[in-house]
Amino acid sequence: MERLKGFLIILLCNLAGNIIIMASGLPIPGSVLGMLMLLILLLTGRVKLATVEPAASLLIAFMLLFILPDGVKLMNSFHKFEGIVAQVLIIAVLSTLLTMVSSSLVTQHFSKRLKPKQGRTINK
Amino acid sequence: MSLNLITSSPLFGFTLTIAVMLFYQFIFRGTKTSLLNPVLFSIFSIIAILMLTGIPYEHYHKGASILSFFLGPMIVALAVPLYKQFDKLKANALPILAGISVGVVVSISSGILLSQLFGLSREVIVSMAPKGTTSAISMNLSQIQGGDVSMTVTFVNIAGIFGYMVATKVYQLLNITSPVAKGIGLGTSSHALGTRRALEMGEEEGAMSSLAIGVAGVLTTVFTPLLLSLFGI
Repeated sequence: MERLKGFLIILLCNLAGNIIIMASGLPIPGSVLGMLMLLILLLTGRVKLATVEPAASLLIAFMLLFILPDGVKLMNSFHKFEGIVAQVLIIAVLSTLLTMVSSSLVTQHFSKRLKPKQGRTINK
Repeated sequence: MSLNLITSSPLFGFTLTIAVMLFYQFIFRGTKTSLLNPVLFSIFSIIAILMLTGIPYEHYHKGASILSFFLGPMIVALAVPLYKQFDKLKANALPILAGISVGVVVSISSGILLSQLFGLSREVIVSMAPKGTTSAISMNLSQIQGGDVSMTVTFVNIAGIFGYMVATKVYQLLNITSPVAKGIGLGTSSHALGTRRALEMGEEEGAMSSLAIGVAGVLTTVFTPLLLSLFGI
C-alpha cells in the first residue's frame, strides 16, 4: 500500500507537470517539470523520502524496459539512415568526446580553486 | 488467422519486450565490455524477430506502448536519487554546476553544428541535439522538436558506449585526477552507461556521475530549445 501511495504522488507530479506545460506551451516535457516538483516537495519536507522511495526505485530499476519499445520504432526509420550512417556515428562520437573533455576540465578547474581553502592540499 | 489474433493482442508486444531484455541481461551478466550493450542488442533482436516473422510493428506497439507509458513517471522518480545526493551537490555546487552546464551546452551545440556541417536534415539534427542525456528525457525532447525518437535512442546509446570505452584514456591524457571531475564528465556525456564506468573507478565518481545525469537532464531540457532556435534550426 505504501508503494502505491508513493506511486500516486509520482503520478500526480507528472500530471501537474503536464497540465502546466499544456497551459503554457513551453517546449519541455511535463515529466521533467514533475521531477522538479517532487524534488521541491522532498526538499521542503512536504513529502517524505520513505513514502516515494519504494515506488521510485522500482520505476528506475525498470528504466531500460520502458525505453526499448521506442527503440524498436527504428524498424520504421531504417531508410532515414541511408547514406548518413558514417556521418551520424562521427558526430555522436565526437560530440560525446567534446562533452566529456569540457565538463571534466571545467569541474576540475573549479574544484582545485576551492580545495585549498579547506587546507590539506596534496600539491607542493 | 489465429497467429494474427495472438500477435495483435497487447500481451504479445508486452511479453516479447520483457523476455528479450531479460535474455540479454542474463547473457551479458558479469561481462565488462560496453560493446555488449543490452539496450541495442534487445532493440535489434526484437526488430529481427518482427521482420523475420512478418509481424507488423503496429501489433508489437499495442503491448509495448503500455511499457512506454511508464517513462513519464520514471522521469519524475529521478527526483529521489537527486534528492538523496543533494548534500553532495550543495557541498561542491560551483564546480559541479559549472562543469555540467558547460558540458550540456557543448553537447547540444556540437551535435547541432556538426550535423549542419555534414548537411543533415532538420529531423536528424533535432534527434541528435539532446543525445547526451538519459534516453527517457532526450526522447521526449526530440519528439517535442519534431525529431525521430528511435534515432535519438540510437544516438544516446552510441554516446553511452563510446563514453564508457574512452573515459579512462581521456582522463589520463587530460590529467584529470579529481573524482568529482571524473564523475561529472562521465555522467554529463554518457548518462547511465558512463555512470557504470564511474562506479568502476570509485564510489565518489559513481555518486557524482549519477548526480550529473539528473542535473544534466534538467539543463538539457532548458538548453535544447534555446540552442536550437539560436542556431536557427
